Amino acid sequence: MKEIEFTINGRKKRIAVRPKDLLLNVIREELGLKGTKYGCGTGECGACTVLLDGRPILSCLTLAVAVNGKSITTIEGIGTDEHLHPIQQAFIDAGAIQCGYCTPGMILSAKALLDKNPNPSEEEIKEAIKGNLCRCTGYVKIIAAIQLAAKRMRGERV
Amino acid sequence: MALLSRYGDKAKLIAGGTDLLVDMKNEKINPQYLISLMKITGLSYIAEEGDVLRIGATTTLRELEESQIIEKRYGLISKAVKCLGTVQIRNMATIGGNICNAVPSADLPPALVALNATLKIVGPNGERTMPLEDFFAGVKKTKLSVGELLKEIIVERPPARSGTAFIKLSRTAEDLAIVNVAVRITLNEDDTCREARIVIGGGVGPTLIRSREAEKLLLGKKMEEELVKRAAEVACTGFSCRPTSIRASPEYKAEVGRVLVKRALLEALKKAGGVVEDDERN
Repeated sequence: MKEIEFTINGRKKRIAVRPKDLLLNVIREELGLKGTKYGCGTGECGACTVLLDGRPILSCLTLAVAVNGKSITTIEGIGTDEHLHPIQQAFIDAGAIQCGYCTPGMILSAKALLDKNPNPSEEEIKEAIKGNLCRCTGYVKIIAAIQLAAKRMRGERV
Repeated sequence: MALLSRYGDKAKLIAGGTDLLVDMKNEKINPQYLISLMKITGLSYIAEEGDVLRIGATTTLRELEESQIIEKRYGLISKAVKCLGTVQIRNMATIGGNICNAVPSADLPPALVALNATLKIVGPNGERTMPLEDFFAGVKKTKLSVGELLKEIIVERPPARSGTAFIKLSRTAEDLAIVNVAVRITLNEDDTCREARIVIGGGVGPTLIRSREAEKLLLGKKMEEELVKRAAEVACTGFSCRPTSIRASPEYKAEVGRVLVKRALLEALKKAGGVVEDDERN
């Protein structure tokens, strides 16, 4: 076991992990944050996406020891039940959620995009969520939701 | 380095982990130790020095993609990186990993070979350099010896009157390549070809292929469409891809390769400022 210290959703955590532990399993099993999903386990589907120092990465292909000293944001860290993040609200309003399994990863990829580029083109949105597979929606409403969130985050009243 | 020599072949180096961990999960490999390169500070950088670009081995693909220097002056690298994987993968995967895994379908190596890249390798006996072109020994095999690691990739700035092109054919953009083609051509003042570098990857053999024979055809000549077509045909003969490849048959790869090489050469020619009489798409 090795002790690591990292920030998760703004809070410092010190935790003992095995060398082979994956970040995904530590987040879900040790920290009990079940919003991050296990999908393919091989970096194809993006359901396990979390933000590492603000950038989307795949927690199923990241060793927990590798995040020592770094900052992780999961879906639980971007809003609260009372105050959803504008992207979360937009996903609901635009009907962009069906089964919901891809949603946390999708929203985190969208957040990383909008944090850097507040006014992305449709092409840029597609590129940003290319690594997040959705088997239900066909993506049209997801793209609409991200466009809606972008407008609201820029201060437009829509 | 000490860890590498202590554990020898019981250990594997890990950088981004996007290939290595998948192989470990599939039980293709089972190293007893993993030695992370990501803790070594000073191995991740993009630095332009005169006419060369130095890239540290653990620089992520996303960092290459976001680099203004690369976008402006080494556009071939940007093009290859942008069609590689997804944002998440590019945030994790490194240039060194994309090279050292020696997967025949990798996208960066053809572009880097077209740009005449050299590798700086460190090991127990000090440093050595090697052209990237000579680095691959087979599928997932390189010429790194036990205890050695890749430290830096040095890319030559394309000379004046050069044009480059990278074309990748794959099922979807983030998928592995069926065929990828990278070329760099340089013209003389009279628009004849001064130098051509034609590189084909995407699993057309155990390693990428640089077609010197096709390059020779172009040397000193005006790059007219007929000649370019012939060079493309020469470049795409003698592929030794596995007939069992899941992505495409050898015949398909050769057929489509000819089209892509020709297109890439004409695109590069245009960028180099040469005149192309280009009335048909293929």
